[in-house]
Amino acid sequence: MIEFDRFTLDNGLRVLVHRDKQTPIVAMNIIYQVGSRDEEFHKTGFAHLFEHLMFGGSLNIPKFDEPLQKAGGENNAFTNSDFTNYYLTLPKNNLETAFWLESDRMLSLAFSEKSLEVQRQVVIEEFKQNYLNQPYGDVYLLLKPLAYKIHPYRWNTIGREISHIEKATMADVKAFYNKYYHPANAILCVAGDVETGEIKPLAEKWFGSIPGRQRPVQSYPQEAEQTEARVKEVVRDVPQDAFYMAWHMPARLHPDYYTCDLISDLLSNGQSSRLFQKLVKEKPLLTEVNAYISGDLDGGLFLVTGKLYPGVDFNTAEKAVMDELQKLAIEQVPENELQKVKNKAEANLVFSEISVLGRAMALSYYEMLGDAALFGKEVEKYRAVSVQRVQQVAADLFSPQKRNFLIYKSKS
Amino acid sequence: MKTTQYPDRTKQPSLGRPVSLVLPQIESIKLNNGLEFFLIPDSTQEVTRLDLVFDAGSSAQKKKLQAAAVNQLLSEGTRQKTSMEIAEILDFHGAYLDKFLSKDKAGLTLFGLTKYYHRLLPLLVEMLSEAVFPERELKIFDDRKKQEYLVNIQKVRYQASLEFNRLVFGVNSAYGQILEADDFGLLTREDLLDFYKNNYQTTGFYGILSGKVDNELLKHLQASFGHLGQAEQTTPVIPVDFISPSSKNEKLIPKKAALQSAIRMGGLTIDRNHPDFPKLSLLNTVLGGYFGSRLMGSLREDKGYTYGIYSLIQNYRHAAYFAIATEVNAEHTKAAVDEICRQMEMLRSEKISGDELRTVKNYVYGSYLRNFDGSFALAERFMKSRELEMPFESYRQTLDAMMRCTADDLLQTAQKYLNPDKMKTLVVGNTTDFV
Repeated sequence: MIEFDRFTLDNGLRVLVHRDKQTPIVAMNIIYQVGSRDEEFHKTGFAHLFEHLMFGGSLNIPKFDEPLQKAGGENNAFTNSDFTNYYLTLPKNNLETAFWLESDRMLSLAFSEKSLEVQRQVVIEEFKQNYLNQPYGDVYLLLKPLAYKIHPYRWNTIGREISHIEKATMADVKAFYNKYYHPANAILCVAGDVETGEIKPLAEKWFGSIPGRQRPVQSYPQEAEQTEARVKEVVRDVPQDAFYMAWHMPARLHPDYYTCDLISDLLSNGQSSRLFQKLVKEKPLLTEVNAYISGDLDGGLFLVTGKLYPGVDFNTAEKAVMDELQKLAIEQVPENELQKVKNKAEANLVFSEISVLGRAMALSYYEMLGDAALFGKEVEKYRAVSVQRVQQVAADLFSPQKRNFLIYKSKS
Repeated sequence: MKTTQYPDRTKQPSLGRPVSLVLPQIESIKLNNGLEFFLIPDSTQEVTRLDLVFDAGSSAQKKKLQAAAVNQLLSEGTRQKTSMEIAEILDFHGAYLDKFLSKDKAGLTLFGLTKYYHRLLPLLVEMLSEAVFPERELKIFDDRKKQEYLVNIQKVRYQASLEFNRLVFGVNSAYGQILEADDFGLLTREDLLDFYKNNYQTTGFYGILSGKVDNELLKHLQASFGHLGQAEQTTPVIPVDFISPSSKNEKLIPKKAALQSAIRMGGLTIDRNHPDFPKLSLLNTVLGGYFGSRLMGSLREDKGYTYGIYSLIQNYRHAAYFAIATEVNAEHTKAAVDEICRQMEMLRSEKISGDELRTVKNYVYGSYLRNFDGSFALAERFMKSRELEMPFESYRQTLDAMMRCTADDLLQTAQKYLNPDKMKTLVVGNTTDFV
């Protein structure tokens, strides 16, 4: 069990403190509750572009990285559909620099034109490097709009197209900042050899004077239940045929989220998993296969993807995959096989707790879900999944009418 | 009543005295059969890591992919168990078995809950004493590896890293071997058995246990590994040439449709034992070793040519090289190369400021603290020090020497080692502006 303390400042900032006496390093993690689902259809890629701008200077600090490096620290950030996460680590004796840096950019950015121009270019290069100039790089650009019709999950965090990033204006940047970057929309976690008694005064000192604002109202159009199968086929200059299947799955806080996670493990986590053994080792029809969940808060996707062995045709591969999925709905999975993936889930949770930064991130994430203490309850939720439930959920999940199917053909 | 505080935000809070880097004394035990295991205990979590390290790196192989195939297939069948049965046992206990391979070393890393180690250790012993390398598994390995290669070689970044390796170490050298499309389908089961025997079974290996290490675990270790037939401590066969660099300094590989070009610049350099190494290492950090580096500041933060650029010194047992690596917007390829050269020239002609020097030193100090934090990180560093045949304590000496570096030292080091005219340049992508 990971222990922590929690308090909230008058301006609404939620603060978590976790103590680990073993390490000379302190981790500071901040979540802002804004992601690409908060963007408009014609201005996508903004939450992520914004993450870059957060390093381009704040009211009193021209460059975020420089003073942090001077304090022996390192940092990074990521953005996804649901939230934006900033993290840093530094030697404990320089902890106050972390408070100074993070509070200044929560107070106000510098809104420098130069920074906007440069980060716009950097993000465009990132778009090209990861999504365009890369075999299979555009898969999610194709798959998400196939699976989602009205929810903002239908675009990727990088954005729908480069032109949206090209057109972002300083006025957009300011409006976005004012709406989402303030204490009540943020969660701060400090983890290391620290006590709540020393963190509280520091938090008051540096974050306490930042004006509080109302949490923005965030509501998203939810997808209607999918009733017919969707297929998209593309031909690309790639060496190997590939396929991507996606089904809608329950929201993050639904108990069947855990069932789905375990189903994906039964299918492809580890070399003894079903799809790997049957389709990569026994037959072999695929050179790679993977089943995983996207984990988005409003209801993510259950994905099954694979690359075909040379000479294998799509129909054969598809049938073999669907047979394996359907088998979970027809035959109850043996108890010990379910136990195996539960053990694996439990071990993974223990592994994720090893680094102090990992713990700071996890606590912030679960606090965003509603309560940091949920982190400690994950194992129980996995344990509670029964073989009967696995069968019921699989039967409902893998319906052919609810499938989104991307066929990705090799030109050659 | 609480009063709102308005701290002075214009100045960075004063920095504390550096925490000193404490490297633990690393103890080892010898089993009855002479096998040595190093222990890096930390009992805060119920997790243990075991590394098993062999002189079975790719530089020791006679055929390409031989070292990789043996390494990968250790867990794909033994005299007593099929590949599936082995996978079942590992997965059931939530354990991960990673295989690692470098030019000099290869081995296995097991991550698992400590309470299951008594079931996992005998399995590892089986892999080391009676792996069978089934034909079928070799075929699957080879096919999958080939497909992976065909996908990767389309990426300018991957192609550049292979070609640069060959450019630096030379075509016909042990370190310069790179994968090519016609290397697949040539390995036989006999090749694997041969390499297994020579490099895993008849030369010594050692282990590192980190994380939770208690007496119970050590008893299980003796009961399993203690019965492994002890290897004779023969020296592995050393290839004649680790390196045979060509005199060629430039290689251009045009790729018409590429949106980005991959650039690599650098060459062979001094190794860790050289007295100038700490200075060069600090200089490398200034140039491209961290986010605030000169190259990142110029090519990403100022010009927006790239998503990222970095430089590094890569150490192997018998050689070391320096490299700058980036992928840039294809239309700015030539401008990027020129700017990289200009940044090196600046370090060769102007002393860096006291402020920048302080920043870099503090950053390096902090990164050492991070890289040596926790027993798993220590295990990794310890393994690397053994690979390079350096005492573990030398990390501390390198760090101390870096902290003593002056701006003059860095200027002289740049003049000595950072000469763009003597470096090799490789471009994959838009090569039209190069003559």
